[in-house]
Amino acid sequence: MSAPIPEIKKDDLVGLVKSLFQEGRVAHFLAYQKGTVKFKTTPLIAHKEEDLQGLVVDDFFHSNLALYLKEIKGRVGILTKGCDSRSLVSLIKEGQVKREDLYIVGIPCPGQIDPKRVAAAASCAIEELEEINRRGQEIVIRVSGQEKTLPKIQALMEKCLACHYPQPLIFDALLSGDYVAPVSPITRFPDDLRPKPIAEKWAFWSGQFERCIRCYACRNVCPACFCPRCLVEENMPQWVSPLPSKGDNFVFHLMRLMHVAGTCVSCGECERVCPMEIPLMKLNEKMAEDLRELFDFVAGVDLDKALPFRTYRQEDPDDFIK
Amino acid sequence: MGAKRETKEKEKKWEPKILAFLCRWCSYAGADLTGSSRTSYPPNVRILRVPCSGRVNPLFILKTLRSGMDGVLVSGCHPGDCHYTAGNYNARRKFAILARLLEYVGIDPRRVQFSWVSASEGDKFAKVVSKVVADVQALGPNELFRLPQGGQTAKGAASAHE
Amino acid sequence: MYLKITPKKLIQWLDGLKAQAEVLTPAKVDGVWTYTLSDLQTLPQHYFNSRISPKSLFFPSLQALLGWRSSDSSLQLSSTPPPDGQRAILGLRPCDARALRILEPVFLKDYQDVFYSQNLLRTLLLGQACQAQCEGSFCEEMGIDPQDSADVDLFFREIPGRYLVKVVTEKGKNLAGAGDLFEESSEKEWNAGQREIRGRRDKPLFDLERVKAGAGERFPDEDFWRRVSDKCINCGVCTYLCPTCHCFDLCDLQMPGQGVRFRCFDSCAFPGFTKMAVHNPREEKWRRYRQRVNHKFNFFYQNFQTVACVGCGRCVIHCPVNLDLREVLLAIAR
Repeated sequence: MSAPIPEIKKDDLVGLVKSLFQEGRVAHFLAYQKGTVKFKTTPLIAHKEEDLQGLVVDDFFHSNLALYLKEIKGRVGILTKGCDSRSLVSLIKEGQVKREDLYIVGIPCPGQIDPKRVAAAASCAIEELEEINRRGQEIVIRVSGQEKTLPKIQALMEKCLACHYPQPLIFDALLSGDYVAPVSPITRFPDDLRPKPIAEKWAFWSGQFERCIRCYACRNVCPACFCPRCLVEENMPQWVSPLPSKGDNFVFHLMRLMHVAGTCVSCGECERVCPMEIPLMKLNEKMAEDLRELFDFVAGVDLDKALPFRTYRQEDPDDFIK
Repeated sequence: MGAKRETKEKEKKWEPKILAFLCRWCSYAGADLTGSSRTSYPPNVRILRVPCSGRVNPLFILKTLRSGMDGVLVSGCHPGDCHYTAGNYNARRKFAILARLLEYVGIDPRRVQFSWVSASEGDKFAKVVSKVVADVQALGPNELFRLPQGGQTAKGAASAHE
Repeated sequence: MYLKITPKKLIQWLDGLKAQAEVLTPAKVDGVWTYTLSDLQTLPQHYFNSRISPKSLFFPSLQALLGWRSSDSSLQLSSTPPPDGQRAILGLRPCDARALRILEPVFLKDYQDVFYSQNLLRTLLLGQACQAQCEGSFCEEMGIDPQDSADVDLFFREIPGRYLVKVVTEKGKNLAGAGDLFEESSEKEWNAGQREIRGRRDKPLFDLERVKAGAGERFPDEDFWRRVSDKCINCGVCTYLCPTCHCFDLCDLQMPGQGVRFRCFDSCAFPGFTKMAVHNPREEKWRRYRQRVNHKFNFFYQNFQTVACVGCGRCVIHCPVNLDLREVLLAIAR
């Protein structure tokens, strides 16, 4: 790389994107705009300069915009947090998108704010929260007219607490400012389920999968789920029944997990969008840890490292096989 | 399978039903050798021949459990001996992840087992099958997420629609 | 007819009710408000609405319809018996109650769906007035009064120290009469029990009449529908949480010698919804979204003289990408 990576101030972002459109460098740009629901942003999909009105840069960038690369092809610009950039790396490795077609504006991510956790930390209902703002390492909120301060660690999305990749891994330009190292020393998502006996694990997941309504929000929001025709849509033969019964839900979720293994980067979107609040990240994190431990593989980090099921080693773990 | 045979089976004491996916070049031939050597092994196993252990999709294993079988065995060539060069290496990786995942959601690893059995290992096949059957016998019938079975009216099925 | 009751006597009345019926109330199950059997002895507090609409109690997401057994010589069919047992639902909101009526032409008109009709017959609907506007909701624009309902058996308004009750149906009247726990009240007292809805918008977002006309007018405008549906990800959350959505799929579970036919929810948002062997008329996302909006605000109205939306706001809050139906309706109404 000969030219230095441009550093863009927040306020200059729109100007940069406009010039990208004008130069023909991108035909579409994926960013965020203010949501219609408190403390939410919504994806901004711009197909021309005029569509950029409303672009914001704030602390509620929950969506992983890489998901739209499943649908929008060609030269696409995208605003990308650290976790999302791993999705981009994964998609490039899977041959779903070409690096040269992308113009990536990286956001060094200080962590995204979760209004539910803020409400819990402030002991109020989420409806009573009037304002949430970041001030350095603290979060300042207003509840029923009163100002309160919270340490960042209580306000961020849980997945951000264990983040090891706040800085985007690939980018063409970088938003200046705010890159801060992970806030807590925990090395993985805390999971109290793992040491429990097997019958308890079954009881736990049974209870969760009984509640799944098979809305497929998890699958559709996932950048790793890019199959044009999903397994569950096959009905000759019917591999996975569409019925939302516990057993079929188990098969759906376990198969989805096996299918995204190696491409899932634990961006957490599936858990965020699940209307039944099923803790899907527990499964993803377990899978990611197993891949790391067994095959020394971390998804979405190394463009050159082979995907785990496309390669093998002679010394691969064998002890579970008789 | 007719309903008549189904009822007769129900009347006997419960016996585990195991589905074994055997690779055509090694394990299936090995099982064949077990038979031709007149070595006994438990009759609880149903064999499904696949070209290679790498052909076994994790979905097959899940569907087997869903259909009500009590256990699954997948067996292939020893690493290095795969007829298709690397099929069993791929299988090894898939199954390593799947086995851990099944354990994490609460499915006992003794229900889904894996082995390498070569075409000359007739004795080993018998031993492997005996172990799997004994393990599954100890675990009891698969009530995990099987389809509603036997003698169900529509109402019964609705209430047990697991 | 108007009644009132103290919280203490309400507990007694609910206990009496529990002796003869399953009483379902909203409670948090695994972090999600759900209608369930609970120990609740009062109307739910700090409660906006359930995650999944109570429509699921009448038109469940998984319903066995019939079963069959086959032997060598014969095939026996058996229908699922209709649901039975008395139930009461406490804490029903006016929007969800209206939705149950909106579904009547679907399930009870030309063909009587035995499950929906039996579920309606065996359930006492106890409505509850809203005290705050749900985020994302637009019930008033849809013609629904958050503090009143004619779609339930008894409707409760909470005021300090007591509950005011409006008797809507004979069934409600008879059950309220049991045990002499309710006192007589008046229309005057009932009207005085109206409160300021917390967080209520001061003016309507759009004019429903313009939406109804506009949806059809805009039908051929491909650019418009592409633009408004651009960020949709084709999941089914909006349809599955919606109190008025009613599309379903049939699926057979086949086992050796027997099987069961089930009905389950389906979604017009799914790409395969209209897929046939040769052709998919709604292959593109914008067509599916156009259909969804027109079905609810245009075609359903033309066929059944009611719009198939109650403005509960669930689709707005839970859309993974915040595709806001209110914005779309506003754009249509312009």
